[in-house]
Amino acid sequence: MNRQACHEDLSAFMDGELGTDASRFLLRRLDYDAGTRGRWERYHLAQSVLRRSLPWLASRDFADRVAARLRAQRLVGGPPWLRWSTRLAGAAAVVAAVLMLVPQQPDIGALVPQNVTVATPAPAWLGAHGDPNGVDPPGFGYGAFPGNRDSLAAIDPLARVEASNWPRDEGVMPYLLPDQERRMDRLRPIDAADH
Amino acid sequence: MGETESDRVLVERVQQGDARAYDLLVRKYQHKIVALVSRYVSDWTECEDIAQEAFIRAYRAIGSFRGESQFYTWLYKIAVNTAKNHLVSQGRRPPTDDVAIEDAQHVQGAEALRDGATPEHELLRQEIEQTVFATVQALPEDLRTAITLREVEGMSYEEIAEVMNCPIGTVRSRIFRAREAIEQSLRPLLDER
Repeated sequence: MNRQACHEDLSAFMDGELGTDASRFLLRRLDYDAGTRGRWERYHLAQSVLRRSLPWLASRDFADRVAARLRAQRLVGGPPWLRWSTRLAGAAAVVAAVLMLVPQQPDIGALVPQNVTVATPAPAWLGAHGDPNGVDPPGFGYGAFPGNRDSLAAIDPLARVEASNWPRDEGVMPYLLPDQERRMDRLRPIDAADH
Repeated sequence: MGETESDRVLVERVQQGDARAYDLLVRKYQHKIVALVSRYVSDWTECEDIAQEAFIRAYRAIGSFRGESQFYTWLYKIAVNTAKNHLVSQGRRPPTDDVAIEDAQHVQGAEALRDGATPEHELLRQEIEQTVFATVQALPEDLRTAITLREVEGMSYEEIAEVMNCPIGTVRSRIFRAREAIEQSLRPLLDER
């Protein structure tokens, strides 16, 4: 399409007299044809004058400033489906990261006999050697519990188990089985310091 | 078909993520919206800032525009609300009566808002008006009739073809040539802005 035919199409489009396909083609061309976009603006300016509806003239760069503000606010930057897919991909990455960081806890009810008290499992971030002075990881881990070991015990005294007694070959403290009840004796009873 | 058809097409494109299509809507309605806002705020700079904010709000909300009203009517409401909210945020009282949508875009009754414009700006506006009317007067009769029936009377191409007793393609061509003539005469003025 030559330039003049394109401008004639622009004129017809302005009047709503251009077919669907031709409109689509024209708009694609307008994406990169600044000259034709300027024409669109001037055609409308003339229309406003002829209709006696130009009481005020916007600044020359008004539309450019609106476009700049839209870009600055990141409102412009690709079709919505692309923006949504980007957000979904980001959310999926976060979910994947959470799943990798959160310790995989077995179903407590299925593993523990009915008459056995369950000790709160130690967090995986303590590692196989269970450093009791370790620092809590930020955010995730242990159900995203936001404290150190002492604060954990303040909520659940059963969790105050000596880490040195934890099995060395497991990342998390095993759930107590009946023959391990002796370990429960090592648990410090609740006292005033816990409150 | 009509000029609101082009709005519909552009709005659909924007809703599909084509920001360039929104730019065309801004370029089309910028003067009307600035004029509308100037009914509420007289300061030139403030008025343009609010008008820009109205366009940005409209862009944010355009996904919810269902085309039940005309795009300009919808945009007009956003602009009025933006102007009123601005006045409230400044501790000023917004007018109790809204500017009627018909009044907002016509020169008659718009003297007050022109008071806020700079003399240079008002001079340019007058020059643009004079240039457009002078160019139309100088057009060959067939072009002048076609552009007048279209822009002033708001006739469709089909209606103009009936009135002028010529094919629709001829009407389309005449209107385009008239617009080109006006555009050519306007360009030097606008390039000086």
